[in-house]
Amino acid sequence: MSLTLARLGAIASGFSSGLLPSSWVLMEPSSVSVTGTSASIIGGGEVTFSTISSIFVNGVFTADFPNYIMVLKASKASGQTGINIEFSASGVANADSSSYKSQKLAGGDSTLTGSSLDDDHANFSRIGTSETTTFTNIYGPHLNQHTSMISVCHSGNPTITAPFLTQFASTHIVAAQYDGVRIWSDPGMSGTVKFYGIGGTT
Amino acid sequence: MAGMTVITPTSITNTGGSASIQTDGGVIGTGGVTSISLNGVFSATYKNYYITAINETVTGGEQLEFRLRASGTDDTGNNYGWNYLSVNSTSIAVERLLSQSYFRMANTGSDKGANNNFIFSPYLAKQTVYASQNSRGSNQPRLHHNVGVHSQELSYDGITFFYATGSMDYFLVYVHGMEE
Repeated sequence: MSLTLARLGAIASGFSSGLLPSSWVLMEPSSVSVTGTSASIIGGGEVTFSTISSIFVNGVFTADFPNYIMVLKASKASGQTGINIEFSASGVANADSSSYKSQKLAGGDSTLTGSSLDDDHANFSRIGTSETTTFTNIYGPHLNQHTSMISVCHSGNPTITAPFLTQFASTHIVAAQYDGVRIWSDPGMSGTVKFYGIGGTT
Repeated sequence: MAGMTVITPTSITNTGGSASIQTDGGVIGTGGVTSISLNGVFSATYKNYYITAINETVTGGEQLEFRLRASGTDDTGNNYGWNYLSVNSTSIAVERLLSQSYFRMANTGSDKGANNNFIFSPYLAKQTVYASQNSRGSNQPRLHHNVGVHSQELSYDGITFFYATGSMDYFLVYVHGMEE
């Protein structure tokens, strides 16, 4: 199992600060590309994007880690809708029919609603004029078997200016080694996304 | 959350199939494993722990359970109680179970899935508390949450994952110590 430069840097940083080597390591994408205005990699791994409808983040899943945490912050100028994800390898997204199985739980005020989705993508977040923060556990994307996700999304609902909690559980059943994701929604999405590797060799 | 460090078990045992400790500290079970016990993963080094697990091809089972263990012996007493939230399509269910002989980690069905589990103070002589999330996948996607408390104020250094009925052809689990 090889070590990436990002991982070596994190381990060195852990030693220099007197802490044990941490196995929560910010992954640096090999590249990003968007449909829309722009995206760039900053701060050793954080990706910032502006007024896009989709973004490929490549090279964030490697053999160094079995599992990952993705942190997405996003907003748009008007309206609200879902944010979707597909897993990708070498910049090509897998969008096989009915290969993403998702369960959603949405909570707003005193109401809970459930719904399921069987599609060529997974829905994992929401976006509106208030910033959405979504914390996603991603299990085994680079292992040669299925990939599962659990997402917790907090958003401000633009129509009632109230907090809104949404959770998603998803499984992508096409077994392959994915190194990235395609995240997409309606045009006009701006924000940041980061990936952390967890587990793996220290 | 502070950083986390993978903890390699001092030893493991299993029933059914086969199991081994990987070089990265993970434990993998294959070929119809029905239970895997991890010894020496909880210690005085960390108060709290984060466990991730991936399961695939479950046969004859529905619920993945776990027990605390000390010095290689499971606590099988009726010392476990938990509350769960289950979301299946448009159906939402909750239930509380008390005086059980195990905790529930995940509702896997026969599906591909994964789960995470925060375990608080298993090695301290205090009640152990846990909270888990579970993504059950390929046939009937579901979201599950479990939270529970173990009634005994004792120290445990290990954990056993098992199916009361059923087995798995793939189970990959990591135990992380959570840095303060």
